[in-house]
Order: sequence, then structure tokens, then C-alpha cells
Amino acid sequence: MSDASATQAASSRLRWLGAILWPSFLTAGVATMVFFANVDPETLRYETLPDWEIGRKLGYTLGFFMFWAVCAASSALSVWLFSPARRAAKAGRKES
Amino acid sequence: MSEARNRRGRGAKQEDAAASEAVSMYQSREKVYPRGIKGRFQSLRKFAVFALLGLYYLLPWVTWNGRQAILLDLPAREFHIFGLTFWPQDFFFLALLLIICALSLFFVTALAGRVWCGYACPQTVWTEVFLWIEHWTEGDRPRRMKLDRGPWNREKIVRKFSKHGIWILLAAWTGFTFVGFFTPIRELGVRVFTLDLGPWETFWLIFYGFATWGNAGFMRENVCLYMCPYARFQSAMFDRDTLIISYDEARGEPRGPRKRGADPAELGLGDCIDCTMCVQVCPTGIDIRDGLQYECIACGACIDACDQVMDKMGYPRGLIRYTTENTLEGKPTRIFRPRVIVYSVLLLALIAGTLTAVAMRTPMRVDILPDRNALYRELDGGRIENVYDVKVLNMSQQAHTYTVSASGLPGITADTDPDRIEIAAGEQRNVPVRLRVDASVMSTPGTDVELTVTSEDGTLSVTETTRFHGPYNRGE
Ligand code: SF4
Ligand code: SF4
Repeated sequence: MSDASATQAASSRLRWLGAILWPSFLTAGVATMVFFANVDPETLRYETLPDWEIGRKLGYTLGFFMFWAVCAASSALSVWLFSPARRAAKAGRKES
Repeated sequence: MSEARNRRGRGAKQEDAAASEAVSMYQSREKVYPRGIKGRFQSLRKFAVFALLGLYYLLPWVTWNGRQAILLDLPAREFHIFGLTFWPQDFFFLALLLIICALSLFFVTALAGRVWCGYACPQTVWTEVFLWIEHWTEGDRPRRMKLDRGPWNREKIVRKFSKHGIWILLAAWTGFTFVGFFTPIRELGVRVFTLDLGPWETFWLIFYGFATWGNAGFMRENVCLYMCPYARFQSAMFDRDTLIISYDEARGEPRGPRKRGADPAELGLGDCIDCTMCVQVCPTGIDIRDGLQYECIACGACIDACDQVMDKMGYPRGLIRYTTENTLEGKPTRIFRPRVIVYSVLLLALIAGTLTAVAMRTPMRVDILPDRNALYRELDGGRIENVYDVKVLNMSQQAHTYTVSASGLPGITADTDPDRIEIAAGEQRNVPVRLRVDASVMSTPGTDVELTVTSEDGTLSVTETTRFHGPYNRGE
């Protein structure tokens, strides 16, 4: 019993992680593309951090992970706000 | 078939049910062991697999005008596609292309349902190949099931090892090819063997290879069920005239086993002999006889399986077939309906527009950056000089020589070093440009002036506006 609920908890955590990381990965990909189509990381670095050594490849990568982090934060918030409502709805359904 | 209609019509409720169902499905979903099957649609799919993967694996090796035909050079911010070179500034075309792709997907979905899923989606295509390998190393469905249940003996180890070995080789090759779209693939090949890959190339090779291995080897239908956005919204494009794969309930029910040659009418049975072949071949593990389900990727395997059974029984084919809801209900099916017409008109307009725009694109570009250090300089003799860094892109297929001229103020002159700027095909060059004007003609401290870059043969010319600065209270 406890074993089953442990795996259940583990898999539900995995599902949460999936629901947060996967959509944010997709949107971050699109955002990175649009952003770097218009902004050259080299220029950006020159304008903001002229003393740093950041090549284009590193620039793209940093940009992508930054977008991913921001999108993931938004996804996490959605999941978090959405879940109590779903739990309540589920409880309500069980009663009826 | 009204069942299927309801499933889609119920929108929100269905979503909700799917959400709670997903919770339990995640643990209880059993591994699907699709049975191999031959038939019309499977041949078509095989053809699609060879065509698409052939393109994928071979395209990076094609050379065009001495350069890799498709090379998306991110570090240089240049994208070569056969004869054309695109820069990030052409993002507009990429956006158009993506919109055209999306619209085509809608169009095809409205007409013929999920043919994308069944025949062209990379997820399906690679899964198919991984399944062939699995079939080849581990045997057909019953043997695979037995092997998985059985103990880890010599045979199981050998079979599993060879399966994963081939899978990993293919996945690695896939990752290598992927990177080869972004880095010249021939050099990349050499560097793989001399273990001289850069960190990003290594990362993406492993990442893409790993994703292929995981998605096609393990996740399979779960990608479609839980990860794919298209799977969730495709039903919005469906209507009653869309081609779907469907079981003919009226003809098949009541289902039940029988001896070959027995008269179903006498037994009070329909044409379905309940052999579950259609379920066993389904790569997503569903029973198409339960009606249209969003898990169905329209691969047609169940049609081929059922047709074989019908042939054996001596019944007409098509108990499971491509059809439309209207046909199933005995109503006429319309191909040209408002939805289809709107999609096709939009699509044609967009394609025509994009092609014209690409063809008419002036194959050069000019970017002007004012000198950062000083706004202006006063020269002897009352002249004022502004310096600009001008980037000229030659996007054409030939080398060109350009000259720079200026206008917008009386007597303005433009000097470059050298005077004639030679730029090879598909290259760019930064040129310092000095604009000079007599201080007396400046009535305000800043004026817009035009810089024109012209090719020497006179065919190409681009004019950009920039700001010319002078001392503050002069000439007021
Ligand atoms: S559901 Fe999504 S991932 Fe699956 S085959 Fe269709 S498009 Fe591809
Ligand atoms: S129900 Fe038939 S068409 Fe749909 S996924 Fe399964 S086998 Fe393919």
C-alpha cells in the first residue's frame, strides 16, 4: 500500500515536472528564435557587457536557458494555481 | 458514429475527464506491443518513411554551387538554402514560411484528418523505424511479450543488447545529421573521428540523439498522448466531412467469433469476428471499434489488419476504413465546404505572396551605425565631419563592387576607404564612411541625411536614412 502510494507520488511529481518543463521548453524555443532573429547576441553583449567574453554560440545558449527559466516559472505558477481547484473539483465529484 | 461526434463535441468535459484519466493512466498504461502488419497503408507508410528519412539523412551531404546546399550557420548568422542566402533580417520570410506550414496543416487536417500524424510526423516516422529494428532483433509481438516477461537469460541479453546497440547507432547518426544542418557536415564527420568536436556540437549531437532514442524507443505513443500540442487541437479542424478512420458499427455489430463459412445472418452476428487484430496492430493500443478517439494517429494499421481478416473470411473489405461521418450516416460528403475554401484561398495567397517577395527581394542590405566615440568633428576650413560604420551585405549570388553617396544637405560628400567596396557573393563588410558638409549649411544641430549604396553595374541600390550632427548653436 505504502509502496503503491510512494510510486504514485513519484509519478505525480514527474507529471508536474513534465507539465512545467515541456510547454516552457516549446515556448522558450519559439521565443529564442524570434528574439535572436532580431538581436545579434554579439551586439547585445557589446551594448551591455562590453568587458565580457561571450561568443554568439554561448549567447544563444544563455538566451535560450533564460527564456526557458522564465517560461518554466510561468508554467509552474499556472500548475500551482490550477491544482487546488482541480483537487477541489475531484473531491466534489467523488461525493456526488 | 454519434459516439465519436459526442466525444469531440463535449470539449471541456472531455478535457476534464482526460485530465483525471491521465493521472491514473500514467502508472497503469501498459506497454504497447504493436503487431507487425502488411497492407496497402503500411506500404504507403513505409514509402513515406523512406522518402522523409532519406531526405533528412542525405540533404546535408548535398552540395550546391560549391557550398553545402542547406547550411544554417548560426554563428555567422547566415542561412543558406540551395541558391538563396537568408540573414536574420529576413526573419519575416521564416515567419511567413511557418504560417504557411501551419495553414497547410490545418488544410490537410480539415480534408483528410490526421494524415500528418500517420505518415509524416517525425515522432511516427522514427518510431516506425525503431519498431522495425525491434521486430528484427526481438521478434514479433508474441515473442516480444514473452521475452519481456521471461528471465534474463543469454538469449534475452543478446537480443536486448543488439536492439539497443542498433538503436543507439541510429540515434547517434540522427544526432550527427542534425548538427550537420548547422555545421558543414563533411568537416564535422572528420572531427567526429578525430574526437575534435566543439562543446556545442557535442552537446547537440548527444541531445538530439538521446531525444530520438528516448522518443522513438520508449515514449512512442505517449508523446502523442501527453506531449504533442497538435494532438490536442487537431479535432478543432474536423467536421463531419473530414476523412477519418472508422469502424463501420452498423455493419460490424453485434460482433462475435464464428466458424469460417458460417452464415452470420443465421447466427445473428455482424461482420466483426472479434479477433482483436485491429487492437493488436494499433501502435497506440486503442480499440478503434470504440469510436474515434484522440489517441488515434490515423496510421491505417487497423484497416490493413481488418482487410486481411475480411479477405480470409470472404467478406467484403472495409469494415474499418477511411470514411467520413456523413458517409457513415448515409449522407453525402462535400469536399468543397466553406472551411476548406477559406483555408485554400488563404494558403494560395500566402504562398504566392511569399514567392513574389523572395523573388523581388533586393539582394543587398545596408545597416548604418553612427560612430560611438564622437558625434561630430570640426575640420579646418569650417567643415563638419560625421563618421559612420556602415555594414553592407551582398545577398546575391555574384560578387559586386559598391560605392557610397550621400544626399540631404547641400554640398554633402561621402568618403569611404577604399572608394570602391568589393564584396564577394553572400558576404558582408563593414565600411567606415565619412560624411562632410560645410558648417554654414546646417541650420539645426541635427539633420536627417540619406546614404545610398549602389552597385557599380547600377542594378542594385539601397538608401538608408541616418542622423547628421553638428555643433549646437551654430547658424541659429
Ligand atoms: S500526435 Fe503529435 S507527436 Fe503524435 S504523431 Fe501526431 S503530431 Fe506527431
Ligand atoms: S486505431 Fe487504427 S488508425 Fe488509429 S492509431 Fe490505432 S491502428 Fe492506427
